[in-house]
Amino acid sequence: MQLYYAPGTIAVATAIALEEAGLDYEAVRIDFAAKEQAGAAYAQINPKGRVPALAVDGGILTETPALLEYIAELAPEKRLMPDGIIDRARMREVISYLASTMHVNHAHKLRGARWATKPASYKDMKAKVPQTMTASCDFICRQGLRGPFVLGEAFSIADCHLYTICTWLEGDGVALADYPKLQTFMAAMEARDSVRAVRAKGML
Amino acid sequence: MTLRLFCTPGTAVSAVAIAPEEAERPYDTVLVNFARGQQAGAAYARINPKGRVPALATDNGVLTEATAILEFVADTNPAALLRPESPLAMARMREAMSDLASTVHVNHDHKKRGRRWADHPGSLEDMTAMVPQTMAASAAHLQAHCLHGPDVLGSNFSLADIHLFVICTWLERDSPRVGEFPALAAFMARMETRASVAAVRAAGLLL
Ligand SMILES: N[C@@H](CCC(=O)N[C@@H](CS)C(=O)NCC(=O)O)C(=O)O
Ligand SMILES: N[C@@H](CCC(=O)N[C@@H](CS)C(=O)NCC(=O)O)C(=O)O
Repeated sequence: MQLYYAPGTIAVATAIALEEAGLDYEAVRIDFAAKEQAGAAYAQINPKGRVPALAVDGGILTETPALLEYIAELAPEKRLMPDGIIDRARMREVISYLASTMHVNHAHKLRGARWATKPASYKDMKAKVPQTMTASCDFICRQGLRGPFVLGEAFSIADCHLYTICTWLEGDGVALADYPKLQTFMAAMEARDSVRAVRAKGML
Repeated sequence: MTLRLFCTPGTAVSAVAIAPEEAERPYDTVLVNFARGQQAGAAYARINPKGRVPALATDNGVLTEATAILEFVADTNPAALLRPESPLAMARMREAMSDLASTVHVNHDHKKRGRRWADHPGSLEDMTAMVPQTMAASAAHLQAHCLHGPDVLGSNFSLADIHLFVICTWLERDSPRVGEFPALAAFMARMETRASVAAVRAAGLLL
């Protein structure tokens, strides 16, 4: 498998899941500074011009929520997803919130050109990011994170996703120190071999 | 288990009701009135503190997020075969659903919900004005890369078809160029022939 990624992006969630699953993968770095993600060559990999993309036997897959479940299914013995239907639904609820609300809030800092055309609008969007990311942290701490992990004691792929987004918080103007529950979660994640491996590979 | 779906007619994601219809699974609906701002009220906050629809009340608590609700219906009704068997096809299905929830739906929300991400009236106008363009780009992407045949997965009905259908009910209102996407139009026409969609339409959940 080849994972197309850029350091510090949401692609890190997939890298952590691959490490947790103990699957071999080649990390292919896309140079965001050189806008490689928007170039013609990468459009052959992912026409959306985003990371992550995962090349597997049978094709190229994108979208973090899809990749995380795919990886969990490839390594059932690693128990990266809960067995119970309700817990699975809770896990997917958190993952969908992260992808469609919290990640999107963050994207308004630097990617305003996706949704508006005027510099004044970009500035306005950027200024609101600390507020929207704070609201997302409040919500996650109340409803999304049972602690220490998303589903409580059991680790799951939702933790790979939440961890990656939380590495953006300081840059988004949210102090992790204001959220002791998130701090405990982040410390538990930093202690995992998977996160250490991804850090050692320079992906964070 | 009793299922109660909180939804609002015309908000496309409320049509996740198509899934229990496909599974022939009885459910009640409770209408959340957006015109009266009920989604943001204290009573609904006890159901879904995010103040959004859809939400599905089950015997084990309330579930939110269209993708999680759709997968829950598939998990609890395996005989309905709402998902494919192979891991690769499953990932394709989820790829489409994540794309719909995190990109296409979000593009659409910049028409009227710009206040989530900006404050000044000028920014909100700027966002609204760009929606026909972003939704046309989304439609082109969905047609070229998300539909792998008449259905999302080729010729195998799945949850992704329900999700694509409900999101595409907006396209006509958001983008004047929807006629340029014949494969999407054909997909929508085929979906309209399903009994599940007819039932949800008859219940007044689709506008
Ligand atoms: N819904 C996708 C979003 C992927 C995404 O937005 N990735 C960002 C990095 S965090 C990206 O590639 N941005 C490049 C760009 O916008 O040019 C997912 O969850 O995987
Ligand atoms: N990520 C959620 C989004 C749900 C959502 O945004 N629902 C809209 C209707 S389509 C809503 O309830 N909006 C109410 C509001 O913003 O006040 C999902 O896919 O279910």
